Amino acid sequence: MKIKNISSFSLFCFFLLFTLRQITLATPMLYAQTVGTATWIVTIFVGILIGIIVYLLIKLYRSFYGQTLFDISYYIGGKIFYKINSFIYFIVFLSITAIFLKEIAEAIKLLLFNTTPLLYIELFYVVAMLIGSFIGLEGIIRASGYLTPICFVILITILLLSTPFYNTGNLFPILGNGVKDIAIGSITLLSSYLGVLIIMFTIPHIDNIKIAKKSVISYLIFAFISVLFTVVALNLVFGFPYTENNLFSFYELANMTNINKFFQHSEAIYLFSILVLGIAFLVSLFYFTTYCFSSLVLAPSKVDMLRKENNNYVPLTRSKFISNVFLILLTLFLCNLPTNIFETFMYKEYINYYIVLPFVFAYPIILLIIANIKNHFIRRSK
Amino acid sequence: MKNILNKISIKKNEKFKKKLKEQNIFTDINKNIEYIKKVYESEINTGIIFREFDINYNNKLYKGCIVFIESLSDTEGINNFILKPLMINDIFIQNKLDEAILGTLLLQFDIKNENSFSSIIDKINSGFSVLFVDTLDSVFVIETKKYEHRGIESPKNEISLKGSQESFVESIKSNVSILRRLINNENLVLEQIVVGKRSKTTCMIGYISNIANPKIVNEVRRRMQNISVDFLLDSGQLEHLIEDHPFLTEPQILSTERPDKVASHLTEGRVCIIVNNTPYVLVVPFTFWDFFHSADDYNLKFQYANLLRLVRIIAYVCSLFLPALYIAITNYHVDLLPTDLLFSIAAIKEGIPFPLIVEILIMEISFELIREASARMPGSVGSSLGIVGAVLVGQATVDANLVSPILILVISLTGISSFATPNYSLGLSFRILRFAYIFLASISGLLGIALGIVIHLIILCGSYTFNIPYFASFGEYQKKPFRDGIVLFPSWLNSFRPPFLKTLDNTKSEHISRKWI
Repeated sequence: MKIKNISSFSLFCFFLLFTLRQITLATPMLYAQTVGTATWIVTIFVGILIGIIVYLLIKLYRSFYGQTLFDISYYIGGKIFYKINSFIYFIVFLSITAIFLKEIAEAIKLLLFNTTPLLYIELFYVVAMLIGSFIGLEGIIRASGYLTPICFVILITILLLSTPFYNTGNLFPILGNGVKDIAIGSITLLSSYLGVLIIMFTIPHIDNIKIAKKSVISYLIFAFISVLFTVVALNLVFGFPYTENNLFSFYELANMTNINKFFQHSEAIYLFSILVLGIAFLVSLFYFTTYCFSSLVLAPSKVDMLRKENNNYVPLTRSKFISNVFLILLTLFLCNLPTNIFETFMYKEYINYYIVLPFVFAYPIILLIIANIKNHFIRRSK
Repeated sequence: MKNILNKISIKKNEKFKKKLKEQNIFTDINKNIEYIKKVYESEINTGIIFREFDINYNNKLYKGCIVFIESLSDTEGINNFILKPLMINDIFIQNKLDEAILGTLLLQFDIKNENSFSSIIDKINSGFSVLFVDTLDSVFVIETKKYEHRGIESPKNEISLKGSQESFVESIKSNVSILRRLINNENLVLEQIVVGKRSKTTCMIGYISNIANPKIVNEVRRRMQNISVDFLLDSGQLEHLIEDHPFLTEPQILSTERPDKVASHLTEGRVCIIVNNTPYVLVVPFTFWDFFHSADDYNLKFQYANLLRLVRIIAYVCSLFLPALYIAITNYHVDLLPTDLLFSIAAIKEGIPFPLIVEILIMEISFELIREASARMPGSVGSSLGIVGAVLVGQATVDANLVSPILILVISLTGISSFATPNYSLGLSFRILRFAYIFLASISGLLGIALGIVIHLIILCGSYTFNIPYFASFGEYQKKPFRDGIVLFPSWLNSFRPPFLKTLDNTKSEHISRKWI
């Protein structure tokens, strides 16, 4: 069943949630590590690249609006290809969920709960993920419509409050580590727009195409602005090489800002925003993990029946308790494979290079091109 | 042995009553009277009147009998307008007897013919009088209802400074008359539905037929017609039976005693449910943000109304989160406090033997006990006891070093905030949820609170009430702006009805409603 009662604002906030979550933690550090002081230039390049990728996706997807990636893969290669793609994206979501759960838990432990066991912190997120997976996508999207604007305002407030500490000298050298790093780095840094993956999995379930288009365009603009302001502000305040090695540069920025004698610790609102963003982010990712798993285990005959009933579209279905518990345990197991925060970042880099970049940005385009070619030949033969 | 015999006779009686209800009346009046007496067990059941008399019609005597419940009927009216015309005169009319009685002799505006015992008994129970006449195969059911009920008073629980001072009462007739007076429009439809197998409680579904979404009306009707209960005594009970999410602490249906509120919601396209014998009327569908609205918002200038709404939102936030935030910050995140405040709190908390969570639970439970006790105590005694209890509990516990003074301040502020909520049911739900947030904050500080907020919000956002999203007012896609979600715009700018209701007519007023400008 398609989601009917959703606004473009809630949908846009849902997509923006993913980018906001990333810029509050490790993304500024990744930008600095990749290009040095040229973070603002690479942000523009990444923004342009993302714009091109999303434009291509929209153009190619136009003939298949209302069908998910799995439906398109069914169209290309039948049930077997449907299952293969379900498996691929199940692995994509599972690995992303596990590594981000680990990263967020490690960050919270370092910032707030120094002596608390990591598993204890992870359990809180796990409970939220489990409950969110039962409520469904509509509840998660609508809740984002309330949470994301509050967090966005908090983050922008912190960036604006830090303007007294800006030092334009920190932007030099302008080209940072060099043009080659900017060119190659702009590809590897595409992962800061993880919302694109979510767009591909959410849009097919939205009844109204106008709402979908409006929210995607708004997301691209605001995500670009958020990333640009964040990396530039951090660069202006801290400079290179400090930003290269500091995971919590945004936290330190929040720490520096204060309003008068009473509001000395405005990092409190930053901490609250990263907690809320982290939980909402993981709930959304886990929901799609369960969705991909449900598609994977769905009986082939039932796939046929659902596609027939719903005009070549397999609707969202409520996942079972046992499968969700199994997936949670699997996620917990995977997320505890890295033993410390450095291994976490190492695994994150592998996942970024071998899973996120190819399967989030390249593979869907290839899939849609093949589907469009097949569509073209079928129409020609008719 | 006696008990067994009693049980057998009760079972026999029940079987007989069930069989009788499926039957039509007899032409022999004596049989009819005997049957009705058996159903009502008239030998032991007082108040059921069987007045037998003779009707002299065209020089022939016909036996008649009027049956009614004395406490529910207008006995004077029965004497003057039923018994008198039928008994006093010799009647010489060309028509048949039943046509003569219905068309000429009885003066009541509401008379119907019935012939099944089941409907006859229901009508007698509702306060109608039933006239049996020998040789006729139907009876006359005459409207003679009159019973004692409370007069229209000012609202006790939903006080408005500038609005109407009328409230609903127990009599459904009076409530309907108030509504019809407020919305004197021919499109106001009030459909009657009977709910309750034994109580046969009269309920009315009210809506404006050229505004309300037919899907919502049909859904309300469907739910009301598919309730299987023995007795329905109160609108609160009905609320539980028709709401979408019974396990959600937040209310999904508005229950109000104010007619102006109900009328205002009907004009927006909502549906109301009036239940006989209860002064609270239900309004559906109702979203979360609608519970922040008060009747006074529409009677004050929009600037004051918005300020009051902001105060209410702050009150809600305080009532839900203040104790939890206090625990989180003082236990887990002390570095978030300014240094001076940190020192003063540390000094105040010196010497308190209990952990903070125990202090808070002691004070919260005491506050709840005082609140419940003062609600149950009669009149002025209750309010005095409440004040004394609060002062004693607060002062005594601080002097005994059981709790810190700052905690008394936190709990008092929380309690006052919970009273600032315009909707009692929502305030109650926050009273329960506060404990959940206190627990979460005590086990993990801000992380627990953030977890609670996100899960709570996702659950609420994923809920529906009568096929309308529960969090619909805010942020939904709207071509025509609805300007009464959280912020209230002036009424001359508020031209459209709530878009999530998908009413038949979306426009409340013209774009320029103040044509005098």
